Amino acid sequence: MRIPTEKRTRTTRLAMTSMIDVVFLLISFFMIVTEISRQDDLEGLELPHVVVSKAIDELGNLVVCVASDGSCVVGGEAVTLPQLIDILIVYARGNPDKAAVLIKADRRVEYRHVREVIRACAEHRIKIWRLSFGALPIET
Amino acid sequence: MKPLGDRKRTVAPLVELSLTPMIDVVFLLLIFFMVGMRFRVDDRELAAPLPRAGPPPTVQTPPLPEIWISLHVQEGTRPNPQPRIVIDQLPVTTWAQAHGVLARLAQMPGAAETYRVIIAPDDDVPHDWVVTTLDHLHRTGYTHIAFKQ
Repeated sequence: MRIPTEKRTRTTRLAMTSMIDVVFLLISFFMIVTEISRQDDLEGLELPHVVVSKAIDELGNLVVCVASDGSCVVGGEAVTLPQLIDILIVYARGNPDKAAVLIKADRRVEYRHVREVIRACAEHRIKIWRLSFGALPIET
Repeated sequence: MKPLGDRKRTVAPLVELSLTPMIDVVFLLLIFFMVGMRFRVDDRELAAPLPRAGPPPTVQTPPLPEIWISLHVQEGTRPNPQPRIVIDQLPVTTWAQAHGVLARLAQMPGAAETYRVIIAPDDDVPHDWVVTTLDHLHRTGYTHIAFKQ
């Protein structure tokens, strides 16, 4: 009689090939979906919520961010009011008849700071043709 | 000499590619993207009136009838400010009331197209209130909107 000396264990083999395919698909999905934040956006900016709004016209927009402490940020850099006016002059000259300014002001900032930016845009030597406020849609 | 069948053939060793570390790297990348990714709502824009500075136009047009909307902070409501909105000398304290007043005014024939609405916020009101006022005006159909100079 044959006496078995070793207990035969059945090993379970896991096919990793399919899982690698799935993981690569997930990686591709996240790499495509992830958007690198634009320099125009200011970290921590809370925009007002509105019902009537439209998609931002990307063509030729100059974005002026007004933070909650009232400071102006253009292109990721803090600017003073005279510097903002200089930027607007250069921008308007480079975009005749289509200079548009988008003011992304924090909802908590006092109106006096936004008014300064609006007045800068309204200077007669700066030909700004369109002004709009950045906002978020109200979830209905 | 050994018979041909007894000679051991030299076989090139097979190159084995171990996939285990690659799976670890892939999982790390996946976790990085899952943690680092943030979903956000796309920003939108609301058209704002652009005050025109400079000399008045040569062609004189008849002045439009005006509706003044002034925005104030209710006294004693800091640090959580509450609005006090005065529409054509009629004070209201909620946005729903303001919207109702504007909608009733807009129901007058041709009012929304011919009336000029001037928004006069105090310096210390939050920007949110100004944008909300603009939003209500757009919703009720007013086309001539301006900020107080």
